[in-house]
Amino acid sequence: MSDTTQYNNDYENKWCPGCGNFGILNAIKKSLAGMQISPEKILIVSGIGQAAKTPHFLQCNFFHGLHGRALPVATGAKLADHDLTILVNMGDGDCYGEGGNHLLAALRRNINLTLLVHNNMVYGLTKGQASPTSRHGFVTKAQPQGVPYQASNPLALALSQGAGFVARGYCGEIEHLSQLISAGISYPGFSLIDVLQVCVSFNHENTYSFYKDRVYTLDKEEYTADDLHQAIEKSMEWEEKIPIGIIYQKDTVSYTDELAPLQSGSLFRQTYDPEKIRKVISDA
Amino acid sequence: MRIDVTITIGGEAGQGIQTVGDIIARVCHKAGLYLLAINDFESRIRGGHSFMQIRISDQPVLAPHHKIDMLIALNAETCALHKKEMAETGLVLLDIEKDAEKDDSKENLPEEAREKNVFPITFSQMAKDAGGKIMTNTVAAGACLALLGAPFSAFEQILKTTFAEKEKILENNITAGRSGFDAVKNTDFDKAFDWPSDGSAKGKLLSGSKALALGALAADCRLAAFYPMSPATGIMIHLAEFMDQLPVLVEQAEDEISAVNMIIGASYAGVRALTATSGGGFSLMVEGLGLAGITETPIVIINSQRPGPATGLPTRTGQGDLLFVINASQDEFPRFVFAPGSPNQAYDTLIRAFTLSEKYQVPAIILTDQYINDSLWITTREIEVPTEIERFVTTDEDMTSSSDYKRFAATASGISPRALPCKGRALVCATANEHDEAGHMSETIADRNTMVEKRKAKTKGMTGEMKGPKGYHGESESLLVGWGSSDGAIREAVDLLRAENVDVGGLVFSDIWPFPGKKTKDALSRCKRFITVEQNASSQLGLLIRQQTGLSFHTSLLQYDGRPFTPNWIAEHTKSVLEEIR
Repeated sequence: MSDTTQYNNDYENKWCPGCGNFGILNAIKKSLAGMQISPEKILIVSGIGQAAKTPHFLQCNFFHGLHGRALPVATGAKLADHDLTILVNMGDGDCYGEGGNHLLAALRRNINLTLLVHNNMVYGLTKGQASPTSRHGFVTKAQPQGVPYQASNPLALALSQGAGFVARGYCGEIEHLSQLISAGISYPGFSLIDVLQVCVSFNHENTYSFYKDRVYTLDKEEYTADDLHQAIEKSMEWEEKIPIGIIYQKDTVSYTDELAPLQSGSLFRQTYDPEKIRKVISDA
Repeated sequence: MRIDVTITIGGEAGQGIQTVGDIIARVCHKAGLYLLAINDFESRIRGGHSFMQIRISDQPVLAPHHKIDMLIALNAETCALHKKEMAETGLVLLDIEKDAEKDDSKENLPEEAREKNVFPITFSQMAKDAGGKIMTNTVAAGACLALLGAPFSAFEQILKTTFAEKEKILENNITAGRSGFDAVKNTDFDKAFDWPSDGSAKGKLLSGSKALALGALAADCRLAAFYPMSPATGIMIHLAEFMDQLPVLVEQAEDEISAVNMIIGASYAGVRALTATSGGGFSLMVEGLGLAGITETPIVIINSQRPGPATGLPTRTGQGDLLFVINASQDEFPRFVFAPGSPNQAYDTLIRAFTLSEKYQVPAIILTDQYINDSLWITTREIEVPTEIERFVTTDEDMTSSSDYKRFAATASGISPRALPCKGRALVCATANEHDEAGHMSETIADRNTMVEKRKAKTKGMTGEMKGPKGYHGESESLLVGWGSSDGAIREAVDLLRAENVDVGGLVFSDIWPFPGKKTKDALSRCKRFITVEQNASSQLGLLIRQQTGLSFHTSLLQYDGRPFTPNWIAEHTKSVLEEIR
């Protein structure tokens, strides 16, 4: 097992003590170490929010972009150089709210990115407003009478969009989460890992004890995750018991493998050929 | 000019007006003539009124003409709509039903066809006889070319290249073309000319969109992400044609926000990346523009202008975005803004924009418009492909210690050595937040000031790269000052005015930002007055010149109706302005 300390940096962590993000950060390090992806070989792309600060807190290449827009940045980077290993860190507001259209497109595009959504069901950075995954009735300062909408179900959404790899992790199950991340990185297409994350400052409902009572790990022997209809059913389980693990996985071909200009190597690796361009232009 | 003929082909959208225009343009191009063909259409796929106007000459054509010498009317409405623009000796070819043709009294003809300069002709019936109404275009093109004086062989040759692999279709089109050609045998056209018999093509026949796409190829652009929007889409469609031959990928994004963020990601990862849109899409890209600004990521954005605000006039032309693109996004960061005035310039600008964008690690914006993009032009200079591409990137080998690499190291020039992620041991960290030299978020006063000053420091070097405005009889008493696509119309207007002994010259900007202040002052130092000529309602360039140099324009000639300038319009309005002074 490789050493996770190689990912440690001395940049001051800015999360609240007890934040669920620490568990996710540790799981990322464990996964990268286990897969022997050294800091200079990983690119982390993130949006805006507490989750999106993640790459600052470990040794890696990173692009910490705009709210909601991590997936397009990551997609552009992957199209430019599909030899890169890219992890995307977003929050629930970031990914399912502001970046919703990009998620829909990423699911359809099936480009080989691993998306980790730190889903704490509340806006942390802006201090406690409702997020797309806040439950109906969830009370906040901005929604004092309770959230008047239904919570979105990102897993069911992804499945309905034809996603090839859909998983749920929990920030309190670090080893399990690190395995999910590794499975996501190994998957040749787009992988969505929704991570149940505790927010100790603004969400007093979905706490460690809330999850402790409900979360159970899907048994790989019993639940093979290869049946879409079963997966949709699994994605609907919430009130009493909450499953974590790979909800659905199917064989796939990555988007970049299908594109004509990428057949002779990544766009980055290919060389500038003025003679050929001259000919193409003169024939055009 | 010995030859100067303007032909307008008009009808409903979907009648194939562009096909007629393309055929005529290609026959003329092949013969060694110059031309400019503008496309005027409504935002609809069928119906309405569209036209293509082709101006043909033995000299380079710089702008459309205000008078029509030959009108090919594929419907009666076209006659009425263009009546006022007809030259005195102008001829109208009107498509009519078969029955009406036989009637010499013209009584059964539509009202439009009874005018003396109208030549009713059964284009569509001839097409049907040759095998299908779809060939109405070919019949019309045949008639038009015959009237111009072209030999049938020149026409036939272009038909052969158009329908090369479809023998039956080619045969039918030749028959159709021949019937149109023969139908006007006994008709005189005042502006017919001796067809150049030994002509060879003078340059490349292409649209501005195509010139921009070719420029992107020559600039080694590898990723082009876009969301469809008129009049920018054509650039990407042309670029997509090369995906199976060159390492260039055209990606249709889910929206413009995604498109700009994709090219930022691609550029960060190490390839040259482009997007193209119009004002509305650019508005959506503005936050991304700021992201490129603060992360110092080189990108190129083409904004092909159309009149706005919001949806505005989707298929028409304008120059209303100048001040917008200079100031777009919150707070401040350096950027380049270019406004090419011809397809040759557009091509060259792409190469230059990518180079300078990477050299200074800033976004570059290219302003074109519907007129440049959608018109067919003949290039007046050779198209050159750079022999190599300088990328301005650094690697581990260039560093004393890759573990100490700082992506945003403070330097006197403001330019930090740019490494690429996952390409060596150096970690490349970038953030939309204000940051320290290593690329980590920082809110300290020192880091904030260092970064603002570092970014700002680039402006000096960037300004040095900017070309001053190009003078045309620049020593004159009065100067017409414009930018971008009005270049040609201004120069032709100057010619018209000087032919009448009016002491007028032109000055046209292609490099807008950072503003070439010193060069502008020099260029304006000798004139008594300058008049701005722009396609917006407040003379945005005039305001910018005043802000940057303290020099004020005498007055402005502004047109914002969505149609391109004609030299005549500029010349007439200039005369009125100058007469008022006397």
